[in-house]
Amino acid sequence: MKKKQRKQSKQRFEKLASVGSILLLILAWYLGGLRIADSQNGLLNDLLADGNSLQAISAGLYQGHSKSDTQASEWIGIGSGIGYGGPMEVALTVSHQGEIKRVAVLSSKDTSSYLEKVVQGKLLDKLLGQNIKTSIYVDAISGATLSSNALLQATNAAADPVRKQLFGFTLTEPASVILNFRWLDIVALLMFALAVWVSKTRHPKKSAFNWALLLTSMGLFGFYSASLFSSSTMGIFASGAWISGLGNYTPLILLLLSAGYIIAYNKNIYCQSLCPFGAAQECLAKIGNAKATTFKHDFFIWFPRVILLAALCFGGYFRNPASFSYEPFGIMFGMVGSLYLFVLTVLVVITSLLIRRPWCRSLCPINAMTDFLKFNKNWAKQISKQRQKSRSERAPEGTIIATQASATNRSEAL
Amino acid sequence: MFPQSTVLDPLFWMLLGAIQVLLFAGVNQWAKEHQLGMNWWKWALAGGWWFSFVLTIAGAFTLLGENEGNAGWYFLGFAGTLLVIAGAGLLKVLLVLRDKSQQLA
Amino acid sequence: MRKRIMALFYMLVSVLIFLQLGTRLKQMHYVQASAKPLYLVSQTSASAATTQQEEQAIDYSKWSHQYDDQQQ
Repeated sequence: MKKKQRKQSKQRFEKLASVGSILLLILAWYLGGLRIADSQNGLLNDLLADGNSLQAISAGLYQGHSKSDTQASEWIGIGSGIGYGGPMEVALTVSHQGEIKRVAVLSSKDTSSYLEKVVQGKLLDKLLGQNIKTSIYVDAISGATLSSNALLQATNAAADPVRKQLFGFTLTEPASVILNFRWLDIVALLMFALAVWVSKTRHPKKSAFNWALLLTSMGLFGFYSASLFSSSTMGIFASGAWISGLGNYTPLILLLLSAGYIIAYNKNIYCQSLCPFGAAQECLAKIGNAKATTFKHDFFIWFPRVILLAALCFGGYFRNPASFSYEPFGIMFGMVGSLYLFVLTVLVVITSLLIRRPWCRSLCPINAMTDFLKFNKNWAKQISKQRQKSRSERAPEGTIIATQASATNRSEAL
Repeated sequence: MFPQSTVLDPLFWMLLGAIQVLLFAGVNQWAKEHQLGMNWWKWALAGGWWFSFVLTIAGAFTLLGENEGNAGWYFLGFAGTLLVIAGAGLLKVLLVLRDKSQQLA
Repeated sequence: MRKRIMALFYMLVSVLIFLQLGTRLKQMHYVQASAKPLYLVSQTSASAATTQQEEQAIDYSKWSHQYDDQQQ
């Protein structure tokens, strides 16, 4: 009896936590929206030459002129491109001759380490001095291709309104969202289907198939494209940034397929057969003959959930979920990330030699996501069952009324 | 190493060299105890691993000494981790091959 | 032994994640509060790459002016 009571109170707490976390996310999003006042004009002042004042001409086009002279001395264009986490905004200052004088990144939804890499690779500096009469091109910084491309796309988009004003023509067409779908997305679908098959099959070589799948995934979604999903993908999905287009859809596809499968069949096959980082840890465990160990206390279940919720809330508040990812994935598969994440990755890799899948068993946010989905699914199932039960209890009355009604109908018809 | 003295420096490195001899002698004993059946290529691999390990530490601390702090830590973290993994792999190979040589004997 | 390693690992990883989230939070807060662009480069305050190019190039006009001054 006591056990049942404890279980009930635990369930009540979990229901509260589930609803509370959603409310907290919405609140963070709302508060973030309040904070972002329309500060674009303030941002643009930095792009003007000293002493000039700013005047809006049309959407995405501004004019800078000195206080004494109303004639435009420089033009500022604003445009956006699609990066890893959504749109990136760039502003350009262009001289009368069409030469780029200043470049500024106004906002970005990409992971800051990647954008940092692009800036350190001098991509912005290479744009200076180029003429916007022709379309602008510089080589992407390797290892941060998505951010480089977004920046270039945004630069060209920002040049367009100025181009139209100065020379009377435009060069860029509005980019199609569909263009960003790549062959890797189809491969992701295929791999997921294979993973479903492997999890269901009773073939004697099941474990070998699973290994093959894991290793392929580690190569493709890991070292080749670093497109495994993380807390930032969850944030991008929840924030709806994907509606306006993403630079890479593969993580989102993997996330949606995995989450959908968890909701439908209560089973997480991503971690088991697809996760590239899981695969890497499994390989290391094979080398070091590592065995698994887990902590059973409730704290170790709730701690990763709280961290994930905090990261998602911060991401929503600052409208940049990608900047608050805390997984070792970026360092492991792309050598991009902060020093803290680098140390974390080294730690996970070395511990993997001694303990099987230490990251999966400690703070990986995917566990928290799986638990959340499973819990809410079961809750919804419970409610619908109760409703069915109460409906069937009420059903006899209902049928009598229905038969009476049909009887009167029939008599009227006769 | 010791900027104040001209004598301590060579002495220190001679001592480190002497320790290397002790280390290899110790490893030899250890290998015999565990019946690893060391031959020329196993020694070459083990020696190569140790040499790279020492080089990595030396390289990383040279970078740190030249005020390239971040580069030093990244180098140590990256090359060091790879070497630790390689070391674990090598140990596993040695232990697996030991079983076979024991069976043959 | 394994449990102890795992406990140590758990602690270190949590500290690192807190540090990571904390620095990002500070960074994002700073960026929003300053109301400045994330990155800005301009031709006048040229960055390291461009200044280096300018310094490396030999300024012939400067030399010629000096030569002219000497001749006079």
